[in-house]
Amino acid sequence: MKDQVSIGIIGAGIMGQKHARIYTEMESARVVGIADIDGSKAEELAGRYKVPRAFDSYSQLLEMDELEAVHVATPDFAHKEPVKDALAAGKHVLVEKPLATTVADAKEIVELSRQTGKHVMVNYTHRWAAPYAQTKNVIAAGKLGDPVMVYAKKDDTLWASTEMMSWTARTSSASYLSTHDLDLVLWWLDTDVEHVYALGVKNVLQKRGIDTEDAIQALVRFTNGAVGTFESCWVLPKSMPVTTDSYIEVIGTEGAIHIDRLHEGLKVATKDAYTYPKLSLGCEIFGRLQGGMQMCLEHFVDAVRGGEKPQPDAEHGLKIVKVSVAIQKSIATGGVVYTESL
Amino acid sequence: MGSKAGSEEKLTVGVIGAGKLGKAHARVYSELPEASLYGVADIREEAARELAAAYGCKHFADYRGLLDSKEVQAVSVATPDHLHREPVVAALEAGKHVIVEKPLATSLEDAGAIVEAQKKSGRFLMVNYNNRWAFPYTKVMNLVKDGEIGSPLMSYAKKVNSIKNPTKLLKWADETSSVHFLSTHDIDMIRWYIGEPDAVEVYAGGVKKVLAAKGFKTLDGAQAIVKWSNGVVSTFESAWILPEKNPSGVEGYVELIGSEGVLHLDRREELLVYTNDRSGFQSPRVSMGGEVNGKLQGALKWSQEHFVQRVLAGKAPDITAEAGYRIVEIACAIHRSIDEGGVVKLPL
Repeated sequence: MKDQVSIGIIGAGIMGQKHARIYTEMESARVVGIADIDGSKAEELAGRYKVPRAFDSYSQLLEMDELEAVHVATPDFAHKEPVKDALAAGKHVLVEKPLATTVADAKEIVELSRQTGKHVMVNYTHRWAAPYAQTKNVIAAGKLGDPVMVYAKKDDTLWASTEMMSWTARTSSASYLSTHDLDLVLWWLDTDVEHVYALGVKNVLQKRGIDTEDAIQALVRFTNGAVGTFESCWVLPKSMPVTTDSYIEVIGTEGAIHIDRLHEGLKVATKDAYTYPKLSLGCEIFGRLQGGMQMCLEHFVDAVRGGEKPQPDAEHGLKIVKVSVAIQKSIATGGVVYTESL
Repeated sequence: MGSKAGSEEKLTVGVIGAGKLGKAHARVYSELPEASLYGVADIREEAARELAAAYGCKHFADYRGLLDSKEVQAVSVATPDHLHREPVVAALEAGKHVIVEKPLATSLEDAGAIVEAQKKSGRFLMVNYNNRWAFPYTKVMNLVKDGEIGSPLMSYAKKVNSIKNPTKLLKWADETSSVHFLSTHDIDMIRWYIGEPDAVEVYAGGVKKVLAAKGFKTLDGAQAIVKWSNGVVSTFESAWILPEKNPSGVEGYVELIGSEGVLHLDRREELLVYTNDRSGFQSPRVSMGGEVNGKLQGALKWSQEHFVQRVLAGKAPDITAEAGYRIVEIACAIHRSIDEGGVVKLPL
């Protein structure tokens, strides 16, 4: 109980619920309060994990003296305000990806983090999933030589865009899905994106009254000269054995890797369905939710405890926001967009 | 334009180019009951002689000798990518039907010249995109035709080779590119799957590092996004610098996302894998065909068989000069985008 980091959770949706469980199961942290604009959701979640306080406004959560850090798990377009207010209240912040939805908002957060000296970490959990972590090891050890070509796709089913999320039209498949791949690739290659050309397809979702692309492909040039294509989609049929088909390939001057996470080794056939359960980001092992997400949250907690800056930080988050914005701008204008122009 | 050759309705054929593919063409013809292999030609006389000896037919050091033979009704052109135009045009002008290896050409000018020559000659020309005859690719086409994925929306296709191909197996890597040599298969295939639309826009990025360091001029690889007239968006990736320890010398992958479904054709590791310390871990290619009971079967055989049967029946084979031209146009647009930067609009 001693020396546990006191965490508050802002947003009791899908992600907030997972986080509440993981922090509660952590020895080094405890959740002291949960806030959600729907107070009943906050109360229900607080009751589930024996969290002492529940609020229908996060500003009340931020008034708790013993609160050291918050996890912001609101919808993408609603990250900025709670992040800013939390920093102003002297709390460290772990915010769901993406850092923000506009370059201006992202820059504000970077500046505020610097001014207050409080940590801002962006919850790019995939870095802690074994296949991606090991790829970093392989590349850092020079086994691929210089990476020169990358292809990364994250394709979701219609369940994600039409049932799981209620704010699909307020974002895009690239901003929501490719953001993970951009983080991984920029981390692995230790580079930035120089320019982008992207195309999107609007058909299925538009017919359902959701005005956003079904799928996007973005061809980028990295500042280190490599090329990469980031594909995202969220209209795959719900009968897919998995809700997210993830694949990344990196070709280097001396070697190549690919990570095919369509399935993660386990395939389950029953009379009702054929499924590929997701494992590397989270799996219940002897009662505890363990894996990439849990290790990522622990990294944040350890940073709050130990004081050293957690990664990925707001500056890295800003880089990715620029690419996401550039992708949408390229789609809208039909031209090549340079990130430095944003 | 049917023609009865000698007795038993055989098509008398010749092969121009006695390299790897020329040898395959010759073998297929020798095993096809409807074809009669008359001769093979190669500027390397010894290669022509050796191949001819294997099948008991004539050899020529100059393909014009083969074309002068009145008996020959059709020829295969299996010369290097950048050397298709001359023999193809000469063959058409000599009144022969032609099956030419893909790509039709490596320049728009050459492709255009072939299209013109074919029109003038009134003879059939087929571009040998034989992947269309392979079971997995044909199955995809049938699934799409049956509406199993709805309307195509987006595709991703890659073909990658081990670095052995441009550096050891091919002697003319600098005269072609991973785009012309590899991606054209996928460009033809995807275009076929999605209803044969026009490409309207191309944007591409290339990589020049590994092969350049070895003194080559050709790209290591490229990625290109194509926008089609029917709204479909396609990415084509090619590279030929994979390390030699890769389980196979060639890998492919095709994903097609439609309004109602999705399919993947994964030809990375291909059904069969084996390991021994001598060869290492290998995934031999099995989709395109191979020897069954002493005879060559599979796509390699069936595309040529299609050509022979169509010519004998007086009907145009699939994959015409015009179709081949469209693929060359896209490949050239990809190179233009890479060289000049920026979005390239089609037609060129």
